[in-house]
Amino acid sequence: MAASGLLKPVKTEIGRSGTSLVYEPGAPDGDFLGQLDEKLDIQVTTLTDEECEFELKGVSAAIANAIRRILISEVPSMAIETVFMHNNTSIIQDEVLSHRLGLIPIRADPREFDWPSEAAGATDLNTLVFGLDVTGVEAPPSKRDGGAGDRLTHVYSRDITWGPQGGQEERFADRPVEPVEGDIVLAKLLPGQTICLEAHAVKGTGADHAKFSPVATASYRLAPEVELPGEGFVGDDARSLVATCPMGVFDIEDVGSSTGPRAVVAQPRACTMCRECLRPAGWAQRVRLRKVNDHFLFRVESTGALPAATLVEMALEIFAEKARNAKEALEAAVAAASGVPAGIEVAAGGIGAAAASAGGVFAVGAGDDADIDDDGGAIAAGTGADDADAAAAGSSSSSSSSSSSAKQPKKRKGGRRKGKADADE
Amino acid sequence: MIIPVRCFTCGKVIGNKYEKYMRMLDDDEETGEPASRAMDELGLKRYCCRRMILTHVDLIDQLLQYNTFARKPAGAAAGPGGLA
Repeated sequence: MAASGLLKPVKTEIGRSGTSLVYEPGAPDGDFLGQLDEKLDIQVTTLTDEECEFELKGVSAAIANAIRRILISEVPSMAIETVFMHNNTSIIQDEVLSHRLGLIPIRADPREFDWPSEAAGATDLNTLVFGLDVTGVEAPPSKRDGGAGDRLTHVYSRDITWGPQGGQEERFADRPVEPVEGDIVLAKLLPGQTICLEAHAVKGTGADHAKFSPVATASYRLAPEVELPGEGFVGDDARSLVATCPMGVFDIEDVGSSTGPRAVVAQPRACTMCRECLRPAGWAQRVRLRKVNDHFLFRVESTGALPAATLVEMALEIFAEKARNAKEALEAAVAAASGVPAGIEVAAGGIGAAAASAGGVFAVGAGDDADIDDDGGAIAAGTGADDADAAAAGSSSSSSSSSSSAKQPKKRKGGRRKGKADADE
Repeated sequence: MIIPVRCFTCGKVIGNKYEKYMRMLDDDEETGEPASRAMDELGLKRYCCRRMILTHVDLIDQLLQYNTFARKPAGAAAGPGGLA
């Protein structure tokens, strides 16, 4: 399948007038899995609960972008979705206040909740109930307002109280549900003004509303590669090169030799491709700026509900599930096209067999069935699985059109998937 | 009118940063530090989040001057709350 002779672009050269792709001579394209095995590499460079930076090497932009998009719009989180306004005499209107409540990140693991469904209604398995009841009071004079007395009562997210329902108090005894940030200003009240409401939080994805997005935000850039080909920069040239770069990419290496100070690329990662170093006459030939096309520097910031690294893991699981769905759909379509009459019973048999043989299509989160049955399936179910946009490879339209009937028969617990075949039965 | 809860562009929570920012600016006025120091300290790295804080005008304080409830004595306008 490897089409030898096809050149694979490996770099993008940044010149004074524009960018051009640099090709690796003789590297065959194709043989996706073989290349992936050889080249795939992930390294975590920064890791805290709020932030995860990692380098992803050896995959195409399509896959890197799929991971980014899944993080933003398909990894679920909990957010306030319904507000029952009992009384609101503040100057923040009901709908504005409700919107602000929805945007508050809530510290609750979405994997422990069911998807909301009309059939089930609001239960302790899919809904968190919060209350907010504040009335403005005249604050005594304080140092902060110069002793004048603050007439305004600030309503903060910490004023929201969680009302455990059913078995929730027991389930979350060791980790109470609360807003991640307690000091978000929700409203300001004059003495006598009141806000009294009840709010219900449910599980959702960023595809439905940005408030459900668990990241803020997920992004990547291509790894910069800076080189000083040829003789490099020495003496005064070296000093002016260092002074030219606003990002501090270059440094002076004084080896004490007869040539004097020499410029070196000290911080290539700091380069923003601003091209300042290409502007002085003749320097465009002496500095080479390039981007490595299969080397991605990811940066994922969590809103705080889950650690950033956990979000990346969940995104990879969803990605693998989508790839598996696409594969099943394709196999079902092939089976249908090769003479077996199309129909639900047939599809069910075909898919059962296909599911059993479905290994990981990609190396990421390569799942066997155990993997699916744990939480991977529960997460992926219903998360826009209908748009089988696996790998964002641009071939989604063909696979998704056949997927609604093909995917349905696969057994899955806790999902809210309502395939068309459901209705047909 | 009131500081938005999240950055419009990237979704970072900024609703808890405006008050801290204003307090920092007060402190910085004495020492002559630029506003960028306060934003750096608040962890606002991207310019989308920085503009949210930098360009915000907290009009709610002024709007509250024009509210009819303001003339009533404390407690008189309290509505029928009652949520447990």
